Order: sequence, then structure tokens, then C-alpha cells
Amino acid sequence: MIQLKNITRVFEIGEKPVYALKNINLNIKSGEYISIMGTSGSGKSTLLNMIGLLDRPTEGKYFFDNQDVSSLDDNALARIRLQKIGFIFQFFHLIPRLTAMQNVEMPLMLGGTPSFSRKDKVSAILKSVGLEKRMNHRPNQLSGGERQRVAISRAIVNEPSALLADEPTGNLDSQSGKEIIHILEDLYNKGITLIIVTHDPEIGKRAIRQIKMKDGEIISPDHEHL
Amino acid sequence: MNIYDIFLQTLITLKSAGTRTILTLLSMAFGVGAVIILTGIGEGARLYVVNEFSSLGSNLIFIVPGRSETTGGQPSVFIGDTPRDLTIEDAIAITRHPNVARIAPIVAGEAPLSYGSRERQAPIMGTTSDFLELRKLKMEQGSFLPKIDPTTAMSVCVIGSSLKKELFGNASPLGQLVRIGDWRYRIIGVISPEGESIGVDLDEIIIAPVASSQMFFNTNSLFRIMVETTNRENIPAVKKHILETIKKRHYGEEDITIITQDAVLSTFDNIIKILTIAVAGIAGISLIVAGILIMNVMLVSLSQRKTEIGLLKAIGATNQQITTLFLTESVFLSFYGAILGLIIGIGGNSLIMFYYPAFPIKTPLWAIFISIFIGIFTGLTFGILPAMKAAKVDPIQSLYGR
Repeated sequence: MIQLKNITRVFEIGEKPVYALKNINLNIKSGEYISIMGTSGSGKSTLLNMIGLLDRPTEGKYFFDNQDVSSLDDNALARIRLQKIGFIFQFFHLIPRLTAMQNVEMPLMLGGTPSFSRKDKVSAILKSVGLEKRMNHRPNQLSGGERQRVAISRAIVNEPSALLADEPTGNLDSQSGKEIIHILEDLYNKGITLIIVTHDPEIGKRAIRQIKMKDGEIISPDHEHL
Repeated sequence: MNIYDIFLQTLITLKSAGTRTILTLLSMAFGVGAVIILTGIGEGARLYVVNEFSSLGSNLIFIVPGRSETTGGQPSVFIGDTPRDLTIEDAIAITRHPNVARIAPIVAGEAPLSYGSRERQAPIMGTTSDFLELRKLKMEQGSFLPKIDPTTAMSVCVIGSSLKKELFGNASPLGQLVRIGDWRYRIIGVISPEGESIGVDLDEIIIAPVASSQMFFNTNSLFRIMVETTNRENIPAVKKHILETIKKRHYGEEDITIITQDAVLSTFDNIIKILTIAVAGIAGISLIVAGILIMNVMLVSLSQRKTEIGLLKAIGATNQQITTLFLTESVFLSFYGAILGLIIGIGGNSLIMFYYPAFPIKTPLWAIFISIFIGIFTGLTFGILPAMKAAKVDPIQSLYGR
């Protein structure tokens, strides 16, 4: 489903080029459970953003569902993000003035689904993550764990094929963190491709396939997958 | 994203910004309100002048001696040389046309008027009996000038109502003799209070037969001749007749100027319209200020919502959708500001009308349309920059706070 070929990403910081990603080759099949680990600055978030089509490679080719996405324009990329990719962030990134329900509705709204056919779908998803009583609360009325569950609901409301989570538990206590991981793994069990970026080995180890990164390179690829 | 959702999101955002939204709306509202009130006052002034003129009667022609053309000489000379005066005989000659209803030759000047020990300076106007109907005046007491041959002098006069009050108080002036200059005149009537009309205060005036006044001022000439046609459509025909008659009588010289009311009216009309536009234009500058304020508010909002924009992009919003959301917000601000301004403007005009009922204030319809148009236009113009900046937000930078 995802093929990265010789991907390099260079940031120009001052005069000096910084290689965030160096010559990355990575194949991800549909329905995999992958963790990307590494220290801060190892390039793991950049890799995730690359996979999630938020960033463009400086060099190399990227195939998403066998389509070369390196050459697509912004709108086409936005379309793919909307329909096929779900994002989860460490800091939840919910829109503060919208209720849980409205936050989850947002991707449907962007896709042009009319209001009357959104409500049922959104309530069903919020119910499935245990927030049926919190649907009309705003983010500041929710706990961290609840906020992340809203964010997960928002990520999966368009039924994407890949779920990308960047330190999803990084801002949560261990109990809420565990619950979040369970929700994500449930989704994996139902067939979604799950990619988690983390520096927490406990969480990283749970993944079927573990990728370790250092200085913009994959240092422990499990070669059988390449 | 459908229109309903765009509007809903805009309303939620503007509502959550609370005070800032209200202040921005007010800035726009005061700009639009000022334009509407000022154009209302301008339009009111125009209507006032138009009404004043039509109270004179709408089918009047004024004949003024001299030709209105540039003749060199003193710059203060607006009207050309007057080689020949207008005379009462000229006026009589003009009446010989089927479409001339009535005519009033006029001599004007000022003289001391005294009754007993009281004396005051008063404008004196010499004319004929037709003047009463021509100017649509009413008599308070007695009768107007008698219907006599205009060339005949007669020592009678009619006075304005405030002049009567000053000289006679509540006593009847009819039949009393007053001294005007070196002459004695008998008062035969008092004109009903009229108020000021185009600069001439008819309440303060003495009206005497035209021949007597010419004698009094020791002149043969007329100040002007007022001609009333049988109806409006005949004005051009009468004008032609007047020119031909005067030309014949003045040995081939067309040495008069004919002023129709339409011409005077349209001159005033134009002047006031231009003034109104100028004043409204000055008020319009406040709309630009309001527009810049909207831009500023949107830019502040943009910098506060960068993370949110990054998020929207990450979950699949296109650049156009972000632009649309921001533009809609600024258009909402300016549009609803303009609507609020419309209410302020119309309310302000009603308030002026309430306190000054004599002044016919009227908000012209075009001002309403223009203010709504400006409302949308300002929002679009000043919203473009923030909206384009919003679309350019880099999702990674904004989401990771780099």
C-alpha cells in the first residue's frame, strides 16, 4: 500500500542543509501494525508526515496505493488525506469552540456530506469509543484521554485505510494511554493499517513490526519486509 | 463543504470571538451609518430647495435685462451690458400671446417707511395685481393692488404681516396713510404670513403699483418681469415669443436673459447633489478604516488559529476551503456591519426627522443599495490578504509549533 523509494528530505536551516530523512526505503502492506521509534530529532515524525502526505520529499518516489503521489498537487494530496488517511497527534488538536460531535463531523463536512447524514455516523463512532455521554461537550470540558478519543473518532470517521498516530499517548497518564492504545489496536484488528510514532519502548514493542530510526535513517529494518 | 456548513462554521467562529466580533461590526456599522445619515441630509436639503421652488409655481419664466454672456470688463459683472432697459411697455407687449396667463413686472428697491413716530427701512416692490396669483399669495386683511393699467401710478400699497405688526401692533392698518420716502401711500391690504421664499422675506415687504414705484425710484426700467404660462408645455413657445417681441421692440437686439424655473432648479439640484456626494465620500473614508480594521482582526485571528488551520489541512481541507472559510468570515463581518449601519442610519434619519419635522430628510434608495454593496465589497477586498495567508499556512510547522 505504501512504498517509499530512496526518500530524502532536506531542510534548509540557515546556510546549512539538514537531512531529516536520508535515503529511506520502506514498504508497508495494507493492514500492518507498525511502530516507528527513535530519539527526538531522529526523523520519525518527518517520516510519519511524509507517509501522511503532509510533507513532500526532496528526492525519491512515493507510491500510495500504487499511485505516484510525489507529483500530485496540493488539492489531490488533500483529497487523499481526507479519504484514506487518519491523523492522531500528541496534543489532540481539537478545535476548541466546537463540541466533540462537531469536531468529529469536520472531515465529513470537508468532504461535503450533508448534515442530516452525518449525525448518526458520528454518534455511532463516539459511542464506540465510549463517549456517548460526552458528545456535546467542548474540548475544555473533557479529560486528556477523552480528548484523544475524540481525535481518534475524527481520524476514522471517513473510514481511512491508514491511521497515523504521532505520540498518541505522549500527553496522557499511563491509564488513559493504555486505553487509547487498546482502542487503536481494536481498529488494527478490524483491518486498518496502524502506524504509531513513539519514543516509549513499552508501546513500540506491542507493534508487529518495529522500525528504529536514528539521524534520519532506518537502523533496524526487519529485512523480511523489504 | 456545502454553503450551510461554511455559514455555520463562520457563525460559530464569530460567536466565539465575542467582543472582537461586536467591535468590528460596530466599526463597519458606524461607517455605513454615517454615509446613510449624510446622504439623507443631503437629499433632504435637495428636496427642501425643490419644494421651495415648486411653491413658486412650476410654469414661471423670469426675464432679466441684459444678456448672459461674457462681455469682458469687471469680473463682477455676471450679466452683460444692458444697453436698453426693460420697460412696462415691454411687459405689456409680452402679454399679447395666448399662452401667457399672467405677468408681473417688478421694480425693487429699499426705502424708509414711517407711520407716526415709528420708522423703519423696508424693501419695496413695485408690481401689478397679477402678482398675487402668480406667487400664490393670500391676503390677511383688505385687498391686493387694484387691477389698473400698469402704467398708471396710484398711491396705495400692501404690506407684509410682520411689517404690519411692527408699525400697527394689533390695530387695523387698512386705510391708514404711511410715508414712504417723500411720498404718502394708503395701506389697502396685508399679506398673509408666508415666511422667507428664496431670499425675499415677503412678511417684511411693501408692495406698491409698478408705475408708482418707478416714479418713486425715478427710473423707467424694470428689475425683472415674471411671466406665468398657461401650462408647463407652453414654456418653450412663450420663451420664443418673448425673445421675438423684445427683439422687435429693442431694434433687433436680444438684450434680455430668460431664466426658467427648470434651469434654476436643475442648477441647485446639481450643486446639492455634488455636495452630498462629496460629504458622503468623506464619510466613506471611514468605511476604508473599517475595512482595514476587519483585515487586522482577521490577521490576528489567523495568527491565533494557525494550529487549527494546520489541523484542518492535515485532515484533508484544501487551500480553497481554508480561503473560503476566512473570506466568508470577513464578508460576514462587513456585511452584517453594513446591515447594522443601515439600521443606525435609518434610525438616525428618523431621529432627525422627529426633532426637525420641517426638514424633509430622506434616505435615498441608492444609498441603501450602495452600503450593502460596500459591505460585501469591503469584506471581500480586505479579507483576501488574510484568507490567502491562511491558505499558505504550513501544516507541519503549525501542528508541531516549529
